Amino acid sequence: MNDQPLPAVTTVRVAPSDITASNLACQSAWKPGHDLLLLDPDAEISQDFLAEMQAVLHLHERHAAVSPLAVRETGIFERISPLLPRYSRAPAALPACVLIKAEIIERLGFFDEIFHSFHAALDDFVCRINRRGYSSVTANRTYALFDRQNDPSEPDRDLLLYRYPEYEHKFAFYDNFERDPVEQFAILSAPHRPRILYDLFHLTPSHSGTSDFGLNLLRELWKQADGEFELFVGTHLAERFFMHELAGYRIYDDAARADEMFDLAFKPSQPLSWTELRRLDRLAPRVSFTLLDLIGVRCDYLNSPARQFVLQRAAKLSDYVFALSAFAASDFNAFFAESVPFHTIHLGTNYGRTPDELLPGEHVLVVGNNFAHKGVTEALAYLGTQPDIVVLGGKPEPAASHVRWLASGDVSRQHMRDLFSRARVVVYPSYYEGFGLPVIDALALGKPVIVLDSAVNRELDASFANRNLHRIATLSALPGVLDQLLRTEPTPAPEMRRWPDVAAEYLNAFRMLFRRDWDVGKMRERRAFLRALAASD
Amino acid sequence: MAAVVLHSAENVLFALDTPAAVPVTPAEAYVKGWFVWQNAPEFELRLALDGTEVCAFTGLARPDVARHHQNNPAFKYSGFVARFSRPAIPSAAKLFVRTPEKEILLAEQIQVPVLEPSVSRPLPLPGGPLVSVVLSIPQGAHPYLVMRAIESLRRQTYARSEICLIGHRPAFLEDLDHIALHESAAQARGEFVLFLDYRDELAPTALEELAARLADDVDLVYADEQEIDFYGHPAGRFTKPAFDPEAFLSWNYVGKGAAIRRNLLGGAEGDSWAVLRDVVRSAGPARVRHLPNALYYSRKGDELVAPLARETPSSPPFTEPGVTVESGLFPGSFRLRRAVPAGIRIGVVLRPEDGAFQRAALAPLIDARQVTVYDATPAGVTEDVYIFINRPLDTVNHFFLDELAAQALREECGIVTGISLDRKGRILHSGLRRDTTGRLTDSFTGLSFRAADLPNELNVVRSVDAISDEFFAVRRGISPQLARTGDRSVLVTPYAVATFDIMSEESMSEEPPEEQSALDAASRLRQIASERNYLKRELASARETLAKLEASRCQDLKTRIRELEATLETERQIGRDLQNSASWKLTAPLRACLRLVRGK
Repeated sequence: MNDQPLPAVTTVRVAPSDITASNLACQSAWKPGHDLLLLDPDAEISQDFLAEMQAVLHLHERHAAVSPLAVRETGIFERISPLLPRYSRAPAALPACVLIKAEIIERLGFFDEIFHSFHAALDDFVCRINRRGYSSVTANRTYALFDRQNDPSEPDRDLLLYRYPEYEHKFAFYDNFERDPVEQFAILSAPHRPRILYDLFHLTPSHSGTSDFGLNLLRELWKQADGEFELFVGTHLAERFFMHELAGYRIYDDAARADEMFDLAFKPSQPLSWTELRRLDRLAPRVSFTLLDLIGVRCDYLNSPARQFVLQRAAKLSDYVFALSAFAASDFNAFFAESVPFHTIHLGTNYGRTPDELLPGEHVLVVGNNFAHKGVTEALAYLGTQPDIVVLGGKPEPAASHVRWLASGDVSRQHMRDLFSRARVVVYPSYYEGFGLPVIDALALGKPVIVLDSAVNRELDASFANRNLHRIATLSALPGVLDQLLRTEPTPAPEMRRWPDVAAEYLNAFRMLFRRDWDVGKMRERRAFLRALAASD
Repeated sequence: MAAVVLHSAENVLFALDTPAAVPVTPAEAYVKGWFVWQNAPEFELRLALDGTEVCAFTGLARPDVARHHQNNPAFKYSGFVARFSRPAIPSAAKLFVRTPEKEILLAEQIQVPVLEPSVSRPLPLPGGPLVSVVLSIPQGAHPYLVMRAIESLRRQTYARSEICLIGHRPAFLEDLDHIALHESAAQARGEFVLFLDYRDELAPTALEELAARLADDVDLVYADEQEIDFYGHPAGRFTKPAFDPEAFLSWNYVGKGAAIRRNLLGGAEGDSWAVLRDVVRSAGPARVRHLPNALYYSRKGDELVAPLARETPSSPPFTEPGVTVESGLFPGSFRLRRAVPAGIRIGVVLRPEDGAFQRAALAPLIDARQVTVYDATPAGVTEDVYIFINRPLDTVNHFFLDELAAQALREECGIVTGISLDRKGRILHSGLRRDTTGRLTDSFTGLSFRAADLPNELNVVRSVDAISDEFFAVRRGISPQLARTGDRSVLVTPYAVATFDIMSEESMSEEPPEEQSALDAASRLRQIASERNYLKRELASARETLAKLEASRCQDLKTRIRELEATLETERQIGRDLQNSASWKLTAPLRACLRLVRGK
């Protein structure tokens, strides 16, 4: 910035719908060497706006035009202005109030009267100066109350697009990636009931631990948060697999309502693609998710570079990251050599809430699908011809003809409850779990559960202090422990952790998040990162 | 881009998208393309066929052409279409530009499909009500669309009709003398009025078929809609449900093309949802008829040629205290969410024979301060709303109890159910409607609830003629058997969904999934054996439960008999004690006197 005194300013009241009259007013009023201030007579501008706008305009030679920040109310301005830099680059100037540098008028003239409105002519002007290496900027310490979005008329837009093929693209890119997220979410800074997006876009059409977690937590959050928050469920209306449980929620489908905003976008699962992270970032200033487990990146045959990278960056760029277990959190930080501050909230169960469920055992229930880390095949090999074995999960394997094998996706909820209730012993031979819902389900029914001695199971053991949980060092110990358990009476079921307990902890975390100010640094870091990805795409 | 014919001397650019004419109806065809003549004098684009000429409609949006020419606005509205009658014998058409000075030939030898024989129809009977078709043409309406609308009216098979234009008459309609020009719809003379959007058309028999239904006891008739593309080709069809005032609260399915008794319109200038609401309120639902034929052709927008954006309502024209309006389950529909007032008590009645886990399935939804679960119909009525569940539950949606209770508490509701599904997500029950033969049927049974193209009707709260007993809710003071008496409705809400642990016939006859069919025979045998073992165990368990139940019932009866016998014995003992008492003996003479007095 130079120390020269700032030039004088000529002020002209423009007629928004009459470009000829506006141009004439400019030509007759403007004096060479003066900056030109154009004002919409209906616009309400902050006090002392001119000094700040002119200061920003003359901060740098390439600043050609400057406008104040457009807001709907002064309160919003007061809240967001301190969070914004002094000025930001903008693809257009604000028709309500724009200050143009004298030398630009001298070099490039006034407005093109071929357009039908001042708005379109101003867009043309900004594109024209931009092609000559100048920028239009927004002075973020001043404001204009301006709630009109009068886009150029169709013929004007066509002409702008003809002259400047970049015209539409630059607005789209600005809105998606360049605009400061603080400005994008400015409206949310006004007092209102917090809106939470509960993102279930990741659910696939089958029942799984992920869907159980997502739906159970949702139900309890709704019951406990109704009235305090506005809760929306993010899912595609056309994908109806879970609609028999979701019917009645307020649905956000981004194919239909792209312009919604929420105070928090929460995903009860980890983002596995850029699309998912982008959606969370686009919709809310606060982003949160739950880390389920790391098996999809730890095992090389499941991993992909994109998935691994997304998971790592999503955890670092989110405002609050939950983990199903301390083990899952430590696994992440160990794998990525990071120190993300996860917040562990264990899962809960619906089982064992009624006396009718507490039935005597009949069979040995082995739980797990066909993935190698589930250990089912090995467990069955050790169990040999043990009678009355039921396997829940995956697809039947030829070697296991003596067992009753049920694919979990085909089993009704009640059938599954029945299988657990009538189990004598539950075997969960998994080598790797983020939590292991079947463990808590079985313990809630008072069933002895055999698991491998792993960090997550030690964590659950310490947390539940349940004498029915039996850890074994290797699966070779399974027959012996099972035999012993079949000959002894199980311990009666103690009261277990329930989904309302889980939801209460999540809600407390959400409340704490809403009490905090936006993490502006994280918002910008997230946006910059996604912009870099979009730019390289 | 198709091949471009350049008339460099005249600076004309032109391309025909349809080298041969495209048949659109048995009697009509069209050709289309784009045409730019920069700095052109006054001209007309015309098509000549067998000595007759038609004028093409120009100025159609062609953003694709504009994009191809670096967004040059001159190409933005370069599209044209010429629609004409098909000849009786094979012929070829030619397309040319005519100015006051000359003609420029653009294309010739355009093959035209011949006229298809039409089915001869009996002439309509004379008489019938006069129907006014009101056509409102906004400024800037494209002549092609307006002329298509008017052409569809000219081809009507019903004579007792009039066309009324509201507002101004565009210059291109000057020659059409038979069109009445009115300032408002109220000036229409017809007994019934039909509003035709200038972008839409009517089927040739539309007025005839509607008029046949317009009787003294009818005030509004609406027909199904056929979607057509910009050029008139059929696209999708909007099959509307029979009139249901409940569904009409959250979805305007009456839509376009309703014939409305004029004196009920009260000066309305269109058939918006609010207008239709007022008409239905005045007339009463019994005077509204649905004609299940696609008689109204609704023109779909074309992103390239003409988006034809239609306004969708942002909220329904119905308001009610305590009801919040939310987006519905499909575009254009709404949910009127009703909350259960504080202090309302809900009773849920289950059947013991449905298995051990009925309470468990509902447990996550139960708030013990508000909801009481009964294993059999309770002896006394203590709750405000009762929800009866009569099948083995698998899951319910999270709002199941709240939604049923909230609907049951509505004054106009007699009984309410939701959607029942089987284990595979097939619809078991969704309400019964009486068909034309008087039989009660559920036309949605067997559909997959997971299908994306589920009928819209299922996704709004609606009233039906009856329900089956899978599950339902009634409020205190209403007997389920008499729920539909008076003005009370039988409602079905899509926001209460119960999945039952049973299989419908449709699910059992489903093709096995591909993975399963790929299993070898041995695997199948193993699976069957496994299922058999499971079923045996289930059967044994059921028998055991039955035996326990019977035993407990016998025990109950024996206890009751013992109680009665004990009571009887007590009564006898009291009698005996009385006869042995001193007072009884002392009063013996007095009783003897009394017997004498009575003559015994």
